Amino acid sequence: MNCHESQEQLIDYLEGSLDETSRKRIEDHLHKCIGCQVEMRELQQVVAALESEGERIQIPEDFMRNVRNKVAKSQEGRWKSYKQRAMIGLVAALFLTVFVGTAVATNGFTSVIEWWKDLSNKQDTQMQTFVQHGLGEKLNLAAESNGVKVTITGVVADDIQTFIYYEIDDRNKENKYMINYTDGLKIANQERDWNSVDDPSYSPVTNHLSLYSGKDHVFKGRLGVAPMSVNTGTIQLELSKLEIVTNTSGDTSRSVPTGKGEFFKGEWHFDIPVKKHPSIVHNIHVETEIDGNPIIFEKLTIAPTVTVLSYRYHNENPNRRMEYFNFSSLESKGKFVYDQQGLGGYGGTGRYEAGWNSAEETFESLYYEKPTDIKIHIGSAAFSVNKPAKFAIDRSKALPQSFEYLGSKITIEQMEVGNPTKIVMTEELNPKRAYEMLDYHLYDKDGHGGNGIRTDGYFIDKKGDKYKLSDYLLRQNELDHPRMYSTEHHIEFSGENNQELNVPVGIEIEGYTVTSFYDKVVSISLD
Amino acid sequence: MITSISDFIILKKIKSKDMAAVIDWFDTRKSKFYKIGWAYLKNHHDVEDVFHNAIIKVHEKIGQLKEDRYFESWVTSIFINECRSVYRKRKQKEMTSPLETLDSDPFETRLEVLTDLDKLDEKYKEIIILKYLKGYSQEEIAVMLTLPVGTVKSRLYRGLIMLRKISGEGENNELS
Repeated sequence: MNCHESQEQLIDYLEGSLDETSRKRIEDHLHKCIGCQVEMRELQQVVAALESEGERIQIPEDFMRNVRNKVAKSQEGRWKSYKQRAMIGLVAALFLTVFVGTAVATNGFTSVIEWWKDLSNKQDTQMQTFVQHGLGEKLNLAAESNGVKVTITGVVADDIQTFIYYEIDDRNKENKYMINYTDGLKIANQERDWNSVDDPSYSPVTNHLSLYSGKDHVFKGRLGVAPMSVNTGTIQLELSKLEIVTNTSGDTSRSVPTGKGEFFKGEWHFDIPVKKHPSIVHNIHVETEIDGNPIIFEKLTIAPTVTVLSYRYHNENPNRRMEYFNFSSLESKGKFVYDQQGLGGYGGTGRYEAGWNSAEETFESLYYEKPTDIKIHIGSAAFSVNKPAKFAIDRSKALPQSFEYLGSKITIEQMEVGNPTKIVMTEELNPKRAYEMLDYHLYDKDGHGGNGIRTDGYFIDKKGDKYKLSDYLLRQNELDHPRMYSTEHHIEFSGENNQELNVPVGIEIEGYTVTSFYDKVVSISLD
Repeated sequence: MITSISDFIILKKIKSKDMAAVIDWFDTRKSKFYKIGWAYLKNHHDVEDVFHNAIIKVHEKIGQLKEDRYFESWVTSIFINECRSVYRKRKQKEMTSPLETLDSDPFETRLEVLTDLDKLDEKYKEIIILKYLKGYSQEEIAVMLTLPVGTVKSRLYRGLIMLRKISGEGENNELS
């Protein structure tokens, strides 16, 4: 054996994993070769040192507890974002179905349309104010393809977001079209001019608001875009298709996307000039508490398009966790601005760090008010309470099947097995109901499954009056102490592995949410 | 590497997406995994992050496990990967901002060879950790890191030689 061969086998020799013959051969060589002998001893020492130092690494006592907490927290966040998605689905569903007369043919319906008209008018007025103050640009950038004309009518940009207003006119007089910002839209300069994280699915366009248009074959909308990294630049917007919006019964006000994803192809390109206007930032530090949970208000950002209140809070009671606040309004010099309920474009961010939840709330803009002090009106807080329960769904028995949770009846009404399986579940709503919304999921025989849920229900105010959830979701501030109760769930269930058939065998309830009302006012002076 | 009936049951639970089962599985093996993590990162909080990330990944990706008997190897490779990515992120940070303080001496005496280990290239360092701190066989390491056994063997050898040289230099410096 030579030194090279010996080196190749030293590791195995030290490990004691060589067979008899090989071991003898290497020992013979080591006996004769001082160099290899020294090397072997040195390696032995390093290995021994490694092993003994390794023994001395001690795991701290509270280690797994911290890990468990961390996992619980991040899962909670995941669950929250899941719930948020369900809510977003709810808002989308509002725009999908509310404006179809049949879905909500109630007296409240007219007021929804009125409310929507009003909201759209406000957007127009706001745009005019932007232009007057030199904060926004009125534009008339038009592009026509296959008889469909898309016009960018205005743009306003600040540190928080950019709004692009548009109008689509079908010259063929056939349809109404809208921009679907998740499909058929591209921003050519996105990589250069946005701080996109390493996320391949990143898109600067984050929201869309449909605006009322009184005209046939004309659609109006607003796109919300994340702020550009440059102060002055161009958004290279490219559209390759538009989504068809249906008109029901010839009533042009009731416009909704078909939801079936029917598209009209074409090519519309725009270079939209953008000038970002800085916002006014007030760093504050004001502490208060809600039900023993500390809240710290940290920052008030007043931008032309929106006002953002940044705060953090700490949950003291793990069994009754504060999930979010409802700020009824911000008050400045007698003027009240309200929670934007997602209509303000930018939705705020939230995160969890070192025991504190950071969150942001958006309000209408206070840019022209230049407030010197503000009053924060805290209306209510939603708490989630852990109260687990599990109910089996017996596939061998007919539907409906009911079970009782906290004295209220929950019923699986219908189930249409497929991919996904569609389920209709209802909840009894009576004056005795102990909870408002359920935290739940369905599971298949392997214990897993995910669902997309569209929820409907009612708000019940202080006096006990009922309001349809879909009518009032985006204008809760018109109601006095509203509690949101879910009553109907349209669930799309799919198993974890996308099997052919996804059959839920049970429902698992983690807990529920309840709301407490405060009417608390926190005064903050801004210097 | 299924070693007992309880492991079999726990794996079944993990496969049914039971998060508590994943955490329990790590809990019974915590000191061994802690050693790997600490030897790699020398920072208590980073190891906590690695545990957290690995638990989430195992829970998410359990569907990708091909054979039950490779479960532990599979988890370990996820764990090592997480060590690697936390280590790299930290290095990037160190380049742009001043050095973060590592847990200088949390244990009674200084762990010299383990400190020297940081001077080695990652590819040697992680194999040495898996072999001499966790006690995996070369074949097991080969499966975890998807390397030929021969490569594992030669990296172990070269890594130890370099480590010996580095600690030798340290000793000489102390003498002079």
